[in-house]
Amino acid sequence: MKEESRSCADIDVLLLGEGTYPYVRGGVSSWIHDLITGLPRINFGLVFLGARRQDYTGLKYPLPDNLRHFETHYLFDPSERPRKNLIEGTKKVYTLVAGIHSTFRGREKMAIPDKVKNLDFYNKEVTFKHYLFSRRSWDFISEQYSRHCPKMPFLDYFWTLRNIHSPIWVVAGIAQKLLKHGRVLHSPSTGYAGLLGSLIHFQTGKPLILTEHGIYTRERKIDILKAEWIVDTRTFLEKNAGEMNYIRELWIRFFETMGRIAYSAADEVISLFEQARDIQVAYGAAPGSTRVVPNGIDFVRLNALVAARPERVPKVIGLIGRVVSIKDIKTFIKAMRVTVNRLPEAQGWIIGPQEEDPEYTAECKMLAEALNLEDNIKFTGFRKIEEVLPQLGAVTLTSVSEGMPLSVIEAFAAGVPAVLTDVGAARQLVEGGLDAEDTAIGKAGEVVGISDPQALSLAYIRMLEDERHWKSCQTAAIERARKYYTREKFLHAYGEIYEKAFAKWRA
Amino acid sequence: MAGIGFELSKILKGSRLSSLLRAYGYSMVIASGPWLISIVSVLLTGYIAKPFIKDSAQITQFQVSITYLIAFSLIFTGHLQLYYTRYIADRIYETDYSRILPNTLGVILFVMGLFAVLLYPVFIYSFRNVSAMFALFFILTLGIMGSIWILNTLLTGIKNYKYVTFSFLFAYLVTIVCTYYLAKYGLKGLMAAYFTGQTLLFFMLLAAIIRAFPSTRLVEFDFLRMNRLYPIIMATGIIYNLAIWVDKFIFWYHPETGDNVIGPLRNSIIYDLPIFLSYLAIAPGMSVMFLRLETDFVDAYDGYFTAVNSGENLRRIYNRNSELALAARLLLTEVLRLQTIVTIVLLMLSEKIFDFFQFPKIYLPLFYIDLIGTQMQLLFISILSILFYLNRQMETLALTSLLLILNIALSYLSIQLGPFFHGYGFTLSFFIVSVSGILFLNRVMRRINYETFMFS
Repeated sequence: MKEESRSCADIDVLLLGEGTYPYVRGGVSSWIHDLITGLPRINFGLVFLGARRQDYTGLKYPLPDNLRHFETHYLFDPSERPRKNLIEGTKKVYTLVAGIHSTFRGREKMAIPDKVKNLDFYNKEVTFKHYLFSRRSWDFISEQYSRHCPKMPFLDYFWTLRNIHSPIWVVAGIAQKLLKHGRVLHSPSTGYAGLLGSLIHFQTGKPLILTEHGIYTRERKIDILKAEWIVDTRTFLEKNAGEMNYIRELWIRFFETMGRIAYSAADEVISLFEQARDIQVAYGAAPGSTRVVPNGIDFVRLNALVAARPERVPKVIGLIGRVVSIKDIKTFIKAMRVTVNRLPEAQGWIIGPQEEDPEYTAECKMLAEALNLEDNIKFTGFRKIEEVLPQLGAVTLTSVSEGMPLSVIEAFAAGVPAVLTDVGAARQLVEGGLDAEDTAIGKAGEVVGISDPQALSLAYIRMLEDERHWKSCQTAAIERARKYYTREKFLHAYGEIYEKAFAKWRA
Repeated sequence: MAGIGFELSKILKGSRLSSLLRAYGYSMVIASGPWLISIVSVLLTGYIAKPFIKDSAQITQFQVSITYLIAFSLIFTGHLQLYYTRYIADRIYETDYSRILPNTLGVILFVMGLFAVLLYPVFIYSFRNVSAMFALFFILTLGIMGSIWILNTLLTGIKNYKYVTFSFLFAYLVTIVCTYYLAKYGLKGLMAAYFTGQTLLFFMLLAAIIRAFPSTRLVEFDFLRMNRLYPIIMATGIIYNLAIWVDKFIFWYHPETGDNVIGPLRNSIIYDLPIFLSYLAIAPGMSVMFLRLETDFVDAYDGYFTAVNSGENLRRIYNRNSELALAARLLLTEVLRLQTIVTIVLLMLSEKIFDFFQFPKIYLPLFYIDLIGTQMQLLFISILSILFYLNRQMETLALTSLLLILNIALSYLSIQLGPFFHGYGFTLSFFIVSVSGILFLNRVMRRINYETFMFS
């Protein structure tokens, strides 16, 4: 893979991205791209943190001119690791590490120990070599194992521990070299990128801005609960009901702690919608530092699509999203079955890439066939929204988990109402809720419960049959997008946030 | 979704011990086997030839020639023997059997080429005043013997021990028959007879290998691919073989202890016989070592790594570790115990043995110390076997290098100190490396969990 890099220390905002722009396509990536291109007077730097070199295939976005600094690191790449080396390690250091661990293990959320905030701790006191290879480190790991989970498969414990901790040192090494770069740090997630920002912040006092699209800590929790390779060796008698496997618990606690570190370091903790802000507070963000800045779209360009719409409402419900289980495509197909019973000409289009989970895709196609929906359900693959939006009567998302879906706002701007499941920002988007005025605009569609094909189909039928209802939803959708979710508004908000941070850094 | 969580779970899923060790612990047995066989054959050929040859100088010339053939063919294939054993073990682990035959032929061609370039000119030049026929048989036998040592690395894989034993016996029988008919031609005849026997042995072993590992390709040089080379193993192989011969060379070429025999080849009348004789004494210990290694130790070794990789808890892994250490200790103590009994019996009977074979009694003191020395060498081979099994490449390299240095320094010193000290250099060298080896092994066993996990 061709790797780009640009080097310049004199930048305004240093962005810290984990597994995203510019090597991966997606919501967060387009958000970063919009942010950089939308604020051309600000000089940006970007640090990309990836897993391993082979997990990425080339740039997915052209790098903007005002991205002056760009570097790529792979947290799990062997080249980031020191050479194997036999070392003993000193006792003092491990007493220290033991102390820190017991703080993190504590039930109540205690303050982050100062050692953890200090770069010298990772780069001089307990180095990566010490962590990976020292005898003391081994003793500590096996002691912790014997104390907390002596019956777990040791190999799983060891690898989980080693793999989640190792990037900390890689990140500390990166931080050490970035102390002079930029005036303000901005990380679009907690996790390792958030940790990187926090370490630079603690070391230099530069303001750290944290924007979360999803809730990283919660997403990792879902990952780990779904991970099938973690074997629970406890028998039925050894396990209390509802008790989690220790390795899962360890993993979750680790990411929660990283989240807390980032929240404690950040001057601004930004989320995309109100519910997300509540979750951030629950995970340890100080309520005073949080705020909501919704995503914005190119309203004018998308609004022009309204003119391209046919006269009658097309009898097509479009689901714009990847075909993966979290989007719960199967519920959509079932809802379409009920809809077609009433409106035989109704169409359900599933618009999005199918490569990520081929097994799930195959299951969905089989389900559509089994329900005799061959003529009514279309898997279109990836399509340009400009082409597809004018052909839709409504967009829908049946997801079981969602942040703030940009595709819904885009549909709004193009005059397409939405039927959404009640997750993430759905209610805020459809019913309004940023302020009283927003609510007064009215409903831009329907919100129904998750996994409820019956309720979904009722909403679809109403949308496709009741033209007056549809018209009022369209008006609200366009109005809401124009007022609250334009790119201008979004860029303006970040422009202000950066200005405030620059001022703080100067002072 | 930002974050590398997805990739992380993929990485964790793939995390198993990558350095899953492949059994190639027989390396040492394989490396020691030919050397024991050949020592026997040197002594044996002398006896076989004796009735047919009147000139005893010719018998000495013949024995010395064979000794050199063994020494040079072993030293110059030492790197390939250990390395090729590893190569074969890896292919067997991958069940890529079809690579075995073509690469074995490739290695043999490689050996022949190596000898042709490095050794043939040297020996042809050395024997320019002896006889062309002798020189010809010498270099031909050298090539054949080098090839036999390579085939030897595959013999444990064949598992047809009966056939292998038969091959060796039959080849030596043919050698005796040929010696009977060719003895009248003197040294040339003896060489021709030996060459015939060795060539027959080579083809018999090759036939067994062709049968055991069929392949569609004839010759391949896959073993030379860079990523499949193990420089440390190769270095260890060559250093080990140099180290076990170097005391002999020092005694042969030191003016006080060596004599000219034929061309540039020399021997040492006072040093050679006792030491070769005492090598015969370690045969019982060798077989016990082989047996223990193949049974208890392999089981304990498999048990340990299975426990590690199948997700046992740490307490059970530690238990397996103790069992492994116990198996290693058992191997060493059993070898030592048995060999001590053999040594004591031989020490008591040595005068009677010397009387029986009509060896000069003057060799007795040297024979005593050599018996202890070869016993130490056996202990050292056992320790190396275990270290090879555990893939401790650096330790084996360090130990063999130490042995080489000690054996050079102390052997030379023993000559300087006078006849009474002959043999002490060799014995002391093996004693020191054996003790060091035990210390290494102790450390390895104590740290095996730490290193298995932290360095994987």
